[in-house]
Amino acid sequence: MLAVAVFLAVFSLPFVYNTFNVGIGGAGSVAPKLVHKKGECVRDADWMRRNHMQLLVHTREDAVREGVRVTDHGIKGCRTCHPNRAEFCDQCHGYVGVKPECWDCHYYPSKPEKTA
Amino acid sequence: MSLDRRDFLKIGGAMACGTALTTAVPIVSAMTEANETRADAGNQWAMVVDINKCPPDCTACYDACRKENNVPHFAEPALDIHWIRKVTFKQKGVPGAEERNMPVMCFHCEHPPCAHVCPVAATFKRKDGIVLVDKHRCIGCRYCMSACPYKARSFVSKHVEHEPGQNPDVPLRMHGVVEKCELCVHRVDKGLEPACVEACKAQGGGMAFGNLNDPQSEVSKIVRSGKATRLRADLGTNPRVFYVGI
Repeated sequence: MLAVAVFLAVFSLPFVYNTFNVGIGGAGSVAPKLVHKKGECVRDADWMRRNHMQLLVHTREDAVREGVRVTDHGIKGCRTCHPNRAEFCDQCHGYVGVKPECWDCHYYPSKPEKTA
Repeated sequence: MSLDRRDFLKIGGAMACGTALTTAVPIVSAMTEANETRADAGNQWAMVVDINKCPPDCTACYDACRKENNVPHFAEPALDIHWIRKVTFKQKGVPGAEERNMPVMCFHCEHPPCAHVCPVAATFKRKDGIVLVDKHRCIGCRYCMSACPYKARSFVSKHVEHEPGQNPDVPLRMHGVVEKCELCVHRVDKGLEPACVEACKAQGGGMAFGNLNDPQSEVSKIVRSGKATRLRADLGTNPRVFYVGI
């Protein structure tokens, strides 16, 4: 009987955790709110939510390998509309629990860069 | 309608050419649109160092490089990272030869052995001759460090922290990648000279940077004059950094 109770407790731990804590859609979670200037992104917002990382990687490959330094599709471009990293990248990445390594090395640019 | 073999092949060939053209044209035009700052094979960047103008106590190039590229300083000499090394030497077999010094950095070889051995294609040569490490892709195996005959490369053996006062134009590096002189590629792409050359010129030193393909540039004039030598030219790596006065 004890074994069953322990099993149930462990088995339901993720559900309990999510219901009372900060997981996606959990009671304690706050949905991310996008802070930005009015206007259009380089792609539409739905596409960006799912695929921005591919755009960044593509820009990265071009910049590193080919020397193409157009900034409006890279992290310097993000900065023109989303001035604060904590309210933009970090907020949503924290919510979905992913840890990209961009900021281990890169700086979120402090001033808007002129776009090419 | 009946076709003989010859007509069938002609029509087939024409169709194949048409298909190839229609697919190629949009790709090529898309490339030319976005390529205003693309690394251009018409520029072959090179550097000349006149070591006759290197004073014994000068570290201008070395300091400028560390500052510009956020090169971390580790206290242990075996682990420290060098993009430029200051090498002191004496002429062999010459009695009373004075001790001299010279800066040694990545030579951006025309045939880079480091790029040849890299198992993940992290090290590569750009079209304009600059040899770079894609630190996103480097797995830290250090084959390139063994392959480089000039000891130009360093391994990042510790975590490096963001600190105030660093140059935001150059990202830091992760623990576990290999790095080396990038010929200040971020400055070169903006049309500037590398930081070491700028600092050296400000001191009245003998570093010059320019395009080998341009016959009017300072470096190609010096290289054509025959005064410039390459280190270990016998290896066939064809370094792009030349020395005067060795």
